[in-house]
Amino acid sequence: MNINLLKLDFKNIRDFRELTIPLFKEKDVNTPFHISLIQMPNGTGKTTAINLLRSIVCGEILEKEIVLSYQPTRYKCDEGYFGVLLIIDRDLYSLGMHFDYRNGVMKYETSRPKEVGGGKSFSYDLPPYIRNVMTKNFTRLFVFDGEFSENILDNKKTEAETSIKFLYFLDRLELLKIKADTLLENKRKSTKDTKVHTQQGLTKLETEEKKLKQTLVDLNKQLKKFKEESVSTSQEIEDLEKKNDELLSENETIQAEFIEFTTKISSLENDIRNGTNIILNILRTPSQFSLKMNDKLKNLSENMSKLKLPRSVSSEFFKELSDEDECICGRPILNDSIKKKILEKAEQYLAADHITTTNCIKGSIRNMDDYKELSNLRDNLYSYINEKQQLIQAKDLLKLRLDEKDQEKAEKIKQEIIRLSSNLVDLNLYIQSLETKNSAFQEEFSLNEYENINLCQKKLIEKRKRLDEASDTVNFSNGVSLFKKMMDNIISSSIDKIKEDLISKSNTRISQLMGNKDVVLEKIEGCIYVDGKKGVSQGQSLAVAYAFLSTLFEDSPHKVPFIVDSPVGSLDLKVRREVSDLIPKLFAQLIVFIISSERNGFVEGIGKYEDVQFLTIYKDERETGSIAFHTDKKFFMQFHSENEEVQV
Amino acid sequence: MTFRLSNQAKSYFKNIFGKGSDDKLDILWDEYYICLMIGFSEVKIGDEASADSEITKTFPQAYKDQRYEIMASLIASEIDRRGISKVKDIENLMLSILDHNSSTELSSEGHRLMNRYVAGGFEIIKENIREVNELHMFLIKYYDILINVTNE
Amino acid sequence: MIKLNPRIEEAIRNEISVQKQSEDVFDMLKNLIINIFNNNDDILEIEQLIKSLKLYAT
Repeated sequence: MNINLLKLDFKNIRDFRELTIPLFKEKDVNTPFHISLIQMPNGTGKTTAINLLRSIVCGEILEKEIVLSYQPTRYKCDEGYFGVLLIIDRDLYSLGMHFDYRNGVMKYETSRPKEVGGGKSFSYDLPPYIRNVMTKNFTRLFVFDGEFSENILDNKKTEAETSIKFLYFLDRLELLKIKADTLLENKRKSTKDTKVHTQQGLTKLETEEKKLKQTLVDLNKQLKKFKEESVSTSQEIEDLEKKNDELLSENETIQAEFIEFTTKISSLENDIRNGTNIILNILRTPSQFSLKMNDKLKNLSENMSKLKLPRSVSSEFFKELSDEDECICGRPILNDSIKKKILEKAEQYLAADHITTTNCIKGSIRNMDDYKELSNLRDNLYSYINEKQQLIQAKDLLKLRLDEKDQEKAEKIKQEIIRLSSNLVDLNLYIQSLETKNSAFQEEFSLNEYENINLCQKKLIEKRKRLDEASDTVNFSNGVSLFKKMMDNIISSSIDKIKEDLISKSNTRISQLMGNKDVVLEKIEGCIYVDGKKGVSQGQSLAVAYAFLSTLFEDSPHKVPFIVDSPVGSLDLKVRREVSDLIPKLFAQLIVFIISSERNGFVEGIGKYEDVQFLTIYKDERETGSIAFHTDKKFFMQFHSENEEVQV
Repeated sequence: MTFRLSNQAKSYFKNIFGKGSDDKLDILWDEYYICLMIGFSEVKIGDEASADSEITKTFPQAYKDQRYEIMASLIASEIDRRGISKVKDIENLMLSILDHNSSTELSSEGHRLMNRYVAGGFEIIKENIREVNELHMFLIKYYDILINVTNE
Repeated sequence: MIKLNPRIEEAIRNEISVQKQSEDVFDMLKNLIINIFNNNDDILEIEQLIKSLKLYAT
């Protein structure tokens, strides 16, 4: 930021009826003089000008008492105005204070260039980055009152640290912290579903995910175990059945019957299989599915023939016809409305392709066979099933003809088979519960993720997704915390380092100004602390203030004008020369309000610089409220204000 | 456009279904057909939303020859259900059910109706036959309800 | 273009070493700070930097 003052305007302020103090060069109105020396006798309004400047740059709202204190006393008027023309980074701003003396109130007015919003606004409306820093205390550092230099040593009135932050751009690092918070907030909003944003929540999710993972491992182990058990149980049953058969087949008295039964059962099983397939194959033909279905299709076939469906005329016929000049009946197709009518007709007819499908359907049911009863086949199948059942029972009864010992054995085998079969049913149900993907089955048995592998996998995927999202957010949140912590450390460590530099540079400067080391800048802690071996005089504190301020502003990328009232009042001649030599080097724009008694020692030093204007302003007693204004250097140098007389 | 069956129906048929087995239903379309024909026969349609599982997009090889008869059955059942008899109405019905551009020659409306007849047919089966373990027992009971329901 | 005050650079360097962060992070942070000094910062740069920070369990 680079601020320069180009002009001060007064209207009906104390003794100023109308006064403009130009600070720009005639040749280039947007460039200020490097140095403007404004000589004004005490009582002319120097303090008024300084106070107004300090208020206007920071947008201070003045109280009634202060507003009224600016009202001219020597003549009557109701309104006053104080304004400045500023150039900030190449943009012109006009800032004004309107005073309403009747009501004791004031209001601001800002005119801005088009490029930065343009127009006029009836408020203090400098760019936000300037408004934010222009506090009353900050303005005291560059709108400076030499007579009150002790203020800079007063911890209530200076803001050394805040000023360092601003002048060295460290306040922008605070802005980075805010931006990081915004990023985090957006991230949280975008992962609203997860709702887990804390380390604690994340740990909980991780525990849940771990538990599910373990469950999945356990369920798979169980499945494997049940499957093995199922295979071995089936094998056992098979072995037992074989054993049972052996028991019967090896017994001579029942051997023949046993073999007969077994063969018959096997042949019946064949018959059952065949019968089933025959019925199934017949049912696969819709017209043979049932009498009702056969009737229905016959009806449809008859209807289609009766109604001449599909009609031999296709929609294409009408479409083609609509393009002809003459209808098939010989009448001419004269206009679009007739064409439209014909095309409407087309929509009511099947297209040629449609007709093909319809003809296939029609053909499939045209010469349909009559329905053949399946009752015989059904009854045969049923009798095979019954017969098989009876044979199995008969085979089972054979064991009654075994001797007692073998009978016992057979009974034991039977009981064991029953037991194992029941186990097998249970095992298969367990297996199915574990591995089924069928949602109807899962619902029927109210299975959950701790009982079914498929549900567990789904839950795990879901949980992982949430976990990924959450850990992303939580990690980012931790990153933001670290980032902010680093920023804080960098800011405070930068301030410390810059303070060290400021102190050592300032002290070099102090000894240069004073020619001794009687006064030393000790530390900057909110304000600056000075260690004076023999106490600190007013002159010494002024020198310290110059040394500190010049160092503070020298290295900052921000450039502000330095405005000073009574710059060397309490300094001795030697220090005055040093100050006048030093200050112009450090500021791009220097505005000095001075009284004639301060010229000695100070103006001579300044005189070495080229880009200087000499203004003399004093009350012209010949006319009330009239102010005399001179720009002549010679006049400036010879002016004596103490007796307020003009000496030419 | 697909042929769809409810998971509930798949679960019901699980014991008598087995690919490559000679005493079980070989393809899922058998289950679909078994339900479909009872639905046609009884002109009962069910809830489309219950058909949550896709079986196939086309008629399987085993049913290719019967596909026009199946479509005819759909048309006949819809004529019954809608109670229509005029040429124009029947033609409109065909226009909405058939689509010569579709691989099945059925429009999406045609598919939707088929699936609804399947859902309706399954309701009848579920009410009348408890789950069985053997295809032959199922078939006897299926035939019996076919006769009984048909005679009602 | 506003340059980085060497004392601020020192502070950044020091903080990077205290927080055991990489040379890459140092470069990113330095660039970010220079950019914000010149009103040239990009929110994506901040996000990238935060994601690059190494987080140590506390």
